[in-house]
Amino acid sequence: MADLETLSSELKDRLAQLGQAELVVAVPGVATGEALRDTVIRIRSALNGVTPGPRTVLVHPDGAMTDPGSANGQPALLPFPITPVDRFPAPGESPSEAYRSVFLASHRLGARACVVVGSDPTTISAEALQRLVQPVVEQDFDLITPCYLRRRFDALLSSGVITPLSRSLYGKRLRFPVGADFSFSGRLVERQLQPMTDRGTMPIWFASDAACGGFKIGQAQLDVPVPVQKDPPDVSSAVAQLVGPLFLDIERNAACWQKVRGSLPVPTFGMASAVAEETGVVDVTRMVEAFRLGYRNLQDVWGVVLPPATLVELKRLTQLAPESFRLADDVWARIVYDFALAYRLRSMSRDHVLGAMTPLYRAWVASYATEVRTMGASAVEQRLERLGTAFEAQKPYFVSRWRWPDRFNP
Amino acid sequence: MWEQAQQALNDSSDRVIQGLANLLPGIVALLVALALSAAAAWVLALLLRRFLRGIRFDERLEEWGLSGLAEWSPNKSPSLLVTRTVSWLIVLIGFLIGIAAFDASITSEIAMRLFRYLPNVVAAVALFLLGNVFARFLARGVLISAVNHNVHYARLLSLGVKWLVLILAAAMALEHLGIGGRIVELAFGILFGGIVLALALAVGLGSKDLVSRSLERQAEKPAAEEAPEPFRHV
Repeated sequence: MADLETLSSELKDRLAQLGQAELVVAVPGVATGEALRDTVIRIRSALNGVTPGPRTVLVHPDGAMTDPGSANGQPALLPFPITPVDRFPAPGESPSEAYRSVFLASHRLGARACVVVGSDPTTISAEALQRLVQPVVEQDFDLITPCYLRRRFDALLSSGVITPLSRSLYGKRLRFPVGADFSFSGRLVERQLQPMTDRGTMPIWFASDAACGGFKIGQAQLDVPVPVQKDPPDVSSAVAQLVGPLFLDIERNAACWQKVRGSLPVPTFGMASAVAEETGVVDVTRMVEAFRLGYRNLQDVWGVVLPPATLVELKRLTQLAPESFRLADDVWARIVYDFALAYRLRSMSRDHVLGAMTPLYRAWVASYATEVRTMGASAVEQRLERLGTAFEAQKPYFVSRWRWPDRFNP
Repeated sequence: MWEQAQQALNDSSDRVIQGLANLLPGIVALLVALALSAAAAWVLALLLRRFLRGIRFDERLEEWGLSGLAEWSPNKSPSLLVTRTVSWLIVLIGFLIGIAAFDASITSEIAMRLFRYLPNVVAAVALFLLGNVFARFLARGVLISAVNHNVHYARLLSLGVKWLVLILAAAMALEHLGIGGRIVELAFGILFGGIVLALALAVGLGSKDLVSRSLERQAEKPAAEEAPEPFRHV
């Protein structure tokens, strides 16, 4: 759904009847009436601590059973044609369209803040919801990104590619630039509604748009695990669907990120809880074998993307045993940058670029897993911090290659 | 008797010399036409090369996904391929003009035949080039996809796809050129039929054990892959 004009007349009437609202909360993942009632209670409880109590509209999927009620202080309900955003889209679906629908409704209602709770809202505490809402409503933040409880092997694409790349390019140390739960100011919503070129199916540009537009960004501890993707795709599809839009975004924001130097921490609301998990032996043999198979077969393809020095480094990796398998952070950072450049230059079909990156990503996963398997949560965070620093240190390499792709051949 | 022979010799010498004298302007005209067309070709090639470099023709072709063309070009530069094609065409036109200096009817006959055949040549070249680009694109796609699905014979699969498409493109191009006629069709049919038959025989007879072992491995694979995977990528 791209335009409110396509909505049914009942829905338009309902929007007109609601008039103005200060806060719009969207819960695209709520499917039943019971879950909706539970969500309403949590949101009401979360908004108790927010001053002044904003007039709220709760946008929920139109398939969910509704029992509007009309108790005082209860958010008004708006059944809306939105699809869940916490899973990989099926063919023809696009989470970015779901976000756009919510933004359209929010804009029509003149809301000052818009919160999208893409995870199961019945698992998020009222306090965590409050941390997501309060900074935008009371402290003039424009974007609040989520912080999930991350086990060491959760959201590896985010940990290994998206977070460090986003940090080095846009200069904001966000833990999860991509997630399912965000809150936006009215200003940022307005910006998101401006006509835009194709950005891929996964909406990963909120943080980059906010950073490049000079908007105020924060992050909130939600105290819930990273949302579980229903029907998780295979690794190469995951790389294509997450990294593709990220590379598109890099191309679009080239004028912005080339000016950014270093990175700064962003305000974090709430304290992270400890994550209990077992340490122990992790078998990375399959990942290492997949990388070796890639090295045996894809050297010609990698040769188009990677400089000779990196290919030599990869050859060295193939000779290592799984238990001592290590891909240095600086080499990994340069690999990601080289693939971003190949994506921009269309050195080959873009699908092929992303497909050829998959065995290398598997190599990084194997290396990371062997390194952190015995580490505690804080040590893992420090390890990821070092990875982010390595991406920052290699950024001049990326900038040089981006500006002079023909001249610069290390 | 001697006088008659001398007369006949003189006459034949006159005829040859006259013939040569008649031919000489034509030869000179041919050489001049060739020299002028070569000079024109050189100048035009120079201008065209500069223009193509100016519009970054090679890079643009790569951006349009026609990087396969570079591998078939001299020095891997499609610009060079275009300029050389244009300059040789100009030299050919110069040659036809030169031939016309001898006898206009010969030239028009040659030109008519050439022009009648030209669309076939263009179509055949286009078919072969497109087939080549498509074969390389498909081969790379199959290779990457097979590697990402842990197929150990990925390269073999990719090579098979590439050559099948190349053979198909070559057969279509030859058919357009009218070379080989039914032989090409027959050869193509035999080759494809042979491949399919060979595969059928391999599955049915020759590699029965190998195939059954492979199928057993494939059947057992899902159970092995269901082992707990600690990694969550998304």
